Amino acid sequence: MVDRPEFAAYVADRSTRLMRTAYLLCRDWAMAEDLVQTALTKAWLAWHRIGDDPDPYVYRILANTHASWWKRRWRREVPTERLPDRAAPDTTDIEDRDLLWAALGRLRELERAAVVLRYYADLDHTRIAEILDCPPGTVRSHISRALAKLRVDQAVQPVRGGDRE
Amino acid sequence: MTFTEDDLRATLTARSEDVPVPIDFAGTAVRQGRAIRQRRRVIGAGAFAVCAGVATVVGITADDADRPSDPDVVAPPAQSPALSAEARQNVVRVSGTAPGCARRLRGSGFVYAKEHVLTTAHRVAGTRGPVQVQTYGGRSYSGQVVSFDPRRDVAVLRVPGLPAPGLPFALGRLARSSASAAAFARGENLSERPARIRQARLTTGPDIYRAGRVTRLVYTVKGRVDPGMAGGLLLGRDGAVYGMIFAAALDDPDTFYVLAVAEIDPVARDGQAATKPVSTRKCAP
Repeated sequence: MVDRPEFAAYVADRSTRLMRTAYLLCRDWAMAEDLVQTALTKAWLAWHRIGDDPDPYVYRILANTHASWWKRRWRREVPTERLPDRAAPDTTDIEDRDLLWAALGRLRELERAAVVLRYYADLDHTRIAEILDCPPGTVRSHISRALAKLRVDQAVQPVRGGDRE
Repeated sequence: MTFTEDDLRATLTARSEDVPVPIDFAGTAVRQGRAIRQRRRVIGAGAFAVCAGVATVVGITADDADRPSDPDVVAPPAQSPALSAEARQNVVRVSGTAPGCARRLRGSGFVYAKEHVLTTAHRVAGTRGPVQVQTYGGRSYSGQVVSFDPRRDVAVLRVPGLPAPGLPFALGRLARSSASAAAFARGENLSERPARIRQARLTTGPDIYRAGRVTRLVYTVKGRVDPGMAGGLLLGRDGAVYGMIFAAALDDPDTFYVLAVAEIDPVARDGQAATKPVSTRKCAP
């Protein structure tokens, strides 16, 4: 077996950060752990081909795995836990950041991934494009559409929350 | 109402602050990676999508097939180190005959105390006469059900002459622990599969006769089990029993369910004190 001390060092160094990023993608800590574990297992398998900077590779697996899990989940139609998202929020005591967080949860998965990679992981459009496997222009439009949705969502929620559906 | 990009950054940062205690990502990655390698080697790259367990859902194709020149493919470990020779002799195959429903019941079990084996109640329900217990080495022993709890789905066999010393129960919170599932899958010798506890949960469901509902402490475990593995154990890296495998998820091949120590322990104690055979009632539907 090839000795891979740098893999353990990478995991020790980055796993907290990866967990946070994964959580922001999927909004569930248990699932975030599974995402990170899957990504790291893949990374271990391909370690000798990854090169000096494993982050883009690992982020890429995180984003892709999340997208595929999300699709599976969606088809199975078990999401009782997701329903509260659509219910009218109790607006009396909610701070703006909670509203923003709730609105982030309503974005499409790719839009949210782009936002998280841009504003949390602090990556530029070119690198996000590599991770999400699309042209930089598409990343830009994901982000601008996401921001537009967030603005609208925010505007709607506090004022007319009680009227929703 | 508006927000700035800084608000967005602050929200994301604040929301992700509460990271749970880290699990052993690196160790698990190495174990799972080796297992995947081994399976790929055995089965061939074509069957990878079906067999690779944790990695099947990964959307990247470029790295799915390992190059033949990969040095690691040469010598995969035959057995994960968790299942030591000592642990191995405590895992048994259980089989009995249930004339009432014309069935031969087979499952797994494990030794938890001298001459005492834990298994699921549904695998011995309705059996008449002795229950056969077969060890990893292939030796057979004859046992009798001395405790039978159809609500918890736990039963105890007393097996005179069984030499295995028994495995200790683990204590404490185990959610998110890495472990392995050890049992006899149908048609195989002892199987050990990597597993990870996703969550501990009080779950309400039917008892084995679907006669009533029962609430039990159950672990949702990520990993793969096959028919015959019910009654097997979830074995921690520390060599302790984390629980007993009792069901697989119907909708997800990578999820199964384990009864926590809190559920099996009362029956185990009862069985250890008991000396007389008890009725195993009728077969589970």
